[in-house]
Amino acid sequence: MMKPRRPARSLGQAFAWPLVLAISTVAGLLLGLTGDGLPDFAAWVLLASAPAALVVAWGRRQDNKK
Amino acid sequence: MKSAAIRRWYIVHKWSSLIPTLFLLMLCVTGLPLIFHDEIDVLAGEDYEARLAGIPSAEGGVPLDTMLSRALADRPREVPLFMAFSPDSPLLTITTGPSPDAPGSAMTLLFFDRASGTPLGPAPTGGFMDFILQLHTDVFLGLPGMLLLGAMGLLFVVALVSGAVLYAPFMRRLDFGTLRLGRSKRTGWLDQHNLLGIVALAWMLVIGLTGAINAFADPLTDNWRNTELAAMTSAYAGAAPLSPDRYGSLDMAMAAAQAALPGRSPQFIAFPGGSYSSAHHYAVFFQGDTPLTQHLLTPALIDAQTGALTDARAMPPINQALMMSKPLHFGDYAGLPLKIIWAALTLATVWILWTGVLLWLRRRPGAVERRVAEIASGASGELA
Repeated sequence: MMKPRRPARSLGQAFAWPLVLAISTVAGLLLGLTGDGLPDFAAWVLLASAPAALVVAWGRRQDNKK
Repeated sequence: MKSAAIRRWYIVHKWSSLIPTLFLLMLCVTGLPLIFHDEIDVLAGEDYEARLAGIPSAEGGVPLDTMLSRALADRPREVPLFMAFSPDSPLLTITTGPSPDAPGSAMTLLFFDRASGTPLGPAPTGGFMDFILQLHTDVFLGLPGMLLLGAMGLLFVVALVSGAVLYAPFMRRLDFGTLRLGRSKRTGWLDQHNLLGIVALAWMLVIGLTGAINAFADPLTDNWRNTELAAMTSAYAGAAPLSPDRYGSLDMAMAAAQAALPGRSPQFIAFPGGSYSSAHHYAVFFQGDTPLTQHLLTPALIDAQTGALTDARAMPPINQALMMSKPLHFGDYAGLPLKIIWAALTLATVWILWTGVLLWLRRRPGAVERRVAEIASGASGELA
């Protein structure tokens, strides 16, 4: 059975989350260089966004045959 | 995106990935233990820094001339090549070799406690971590090996960019984070490859680019020595190289260097005739004086015979990029949590490489158009 075709996404929609994660990653990488203590903590939080996104996606994976 | 364009990007992605895949897998596997080299050194009992107490060697202690004479007493008939300082502990290292331009393989690295002046013996070498580091840096092939891995790093960057371009048509009708693991294996691999790839994209780009810059470290340093450094020391251009028995006081040289660049912490001294200095100078490399610039080294060139300052000038932008590339590649600048994230993203990279290999190996027969259609449809029309 074919589901009704979903409307195509714009480039902006497809890359919205990837862009957020990329900016967060780069900001984390650079902030970590600027000092110890708070900047390091900020770096960990910002950089952890990428692994966190993978965990969330894994939690929502589609296992069943549909 | 037109299918002709998808086809072109697909071909670029396929070859720029397939060629470096085995190298990249090796780099990931060897990179994992290297991320934790500090922690592994502590476990192996090779962490001298933690055992020594007293004033950091970058700030003071026994005079440098005394430390050097102790090193040369241990290595008679050799000449000094480098002296390196620690900003955190009294650990001082002195590198010697048979001649001023000795290759790395002929050098000996000696450890000292500068607070007490005690020799700690030669640096431990030849261990497991040294083996891993060599494999990761140049696959035991020296400069050609470094350049080979650098080229693989650049291909990796091309693969990342082309992969990100192909992500757009693939995801046209899919939600971000889609993982269809209940359909065909191939759909599952495609979704995992796309999701992991796009999520780790920025980190992989940084690691790939900084790794490639590091691979070109030797030519970049040679270029600095032959251009910028040659210009700074042009007054000495015609003079014969200074012979080691005429080297003057290191402590006087350090004082002159610190007068030129006050308030900064010295990281190492390069002796005349090596890769990091002219044939007539002590090059004293200082760290920047803010956290952001502490990785950016500035050399003060001191006439090795007279101890007088010749020049102190920041390195050119490409060499500054090289210095910033090191922490960004190693991930060792913000504590253990950063290293754990580094390891997690390295494992993600391994999985991206592996699913990429599977997608290529287990492709069904048929022209490239089949793969193009798969990308254009987000694998939605696929029959399991």
